[in-house]
Amino acid sequence: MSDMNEKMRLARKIAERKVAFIRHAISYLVVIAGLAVVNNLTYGGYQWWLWVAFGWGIGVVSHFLSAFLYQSGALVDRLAQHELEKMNGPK
Amino acid sequence: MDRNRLGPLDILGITLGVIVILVVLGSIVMIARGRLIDPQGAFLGFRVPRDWQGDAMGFGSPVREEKDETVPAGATEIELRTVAGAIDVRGDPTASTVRLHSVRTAPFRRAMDEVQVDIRQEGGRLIAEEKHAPGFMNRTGTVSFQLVVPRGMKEIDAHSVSGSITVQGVEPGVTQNLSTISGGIATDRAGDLDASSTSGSIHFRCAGATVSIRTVSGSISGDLDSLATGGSAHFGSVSGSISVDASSGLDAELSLHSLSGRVSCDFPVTITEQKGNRLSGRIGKGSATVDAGTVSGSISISRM
Repeated sequence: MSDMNEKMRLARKIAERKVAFIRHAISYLVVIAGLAVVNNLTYGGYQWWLWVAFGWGIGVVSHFLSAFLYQSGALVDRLAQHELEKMNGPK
Repeated sequence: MDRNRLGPLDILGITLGVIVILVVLGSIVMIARGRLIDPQGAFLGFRVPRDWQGDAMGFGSPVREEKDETVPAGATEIELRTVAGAIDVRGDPTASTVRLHSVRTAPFRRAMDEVQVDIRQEGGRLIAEEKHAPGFMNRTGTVSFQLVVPRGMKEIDAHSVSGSITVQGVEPGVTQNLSTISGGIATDRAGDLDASSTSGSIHFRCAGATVSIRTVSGSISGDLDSLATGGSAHFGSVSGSISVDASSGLDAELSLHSLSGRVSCDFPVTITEQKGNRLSGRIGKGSATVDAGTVSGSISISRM
């Protein structure tokens, strides 16, 4: 029962991270698109919105990596499993 | 159950992640390629219909404005300052007053409004300089000056950051102080001359009592028509070469030194020290001083 609760807690945590990233990415794309349009409607020569796209984008990409690739504990779990197999030796 | 199966949430998240990565990479490429300032006001083919624009929008193609500025009479000294614009001073013996022609350019209309030409006179000194409104966005416009000066000038000061400076046809003997960071300098018929550039080259012709020409990586070349008794001429560079043609009547204590560059002198020199790339001596009676030094550039003093 305790193991089931732990798995549920972990699954919920991962799902929350993914949803948070999706919200973040949609906000990023909407705001950057808005800035690009405002930039070119008002002050067309200097494409200042690229700086925002670059700076904020680094943060969003980091969020993406942490939510989908380096999920909390997943890497450590895999390494722990590997170490455990080494300790047990070949069967 | 397949643990690796992707759900709709995963597919949406990964798709968004890939789009964001593409946007970031695109912005890096655009910034690195210098596409921040698009003179057409368009980006990746995006163009606002002409009807939407209007002058208040400040949207449009590069703008240029030329103007003949009114210059008060009586100036015998001139001081010109620009950032990226060129400075061109020409002498005209038939002119009665200074004529100043300024050219303002900007990549778009709004930037043009933020750069102005400030002209004022302090005693006999005429000062014309480029002025920008405060703010990061207000520094894209440039001003260049074309100046025609009459006889009777005493001093010309011209300073720019990346613009070139040219002084031509001014009556002989006018003191000139010229400096840039990355632009080149060319002057003829200067009197006393103080010229410096960081990466631009300097070409000169002068006849005065005090000559000082310095660069970091730009070359120095020109003619030293005469050097007054008791006068001094200093040429210095780090990696640029120095090549000076001096009049055959040069009479000076000579000191040439370079760390790794070649040193040569055409004049008959009474040598007091010659060691490696260092040459010291006297030409004639040594009534003036000429010294030239570099780190890696070559030094050549030749007879005209």
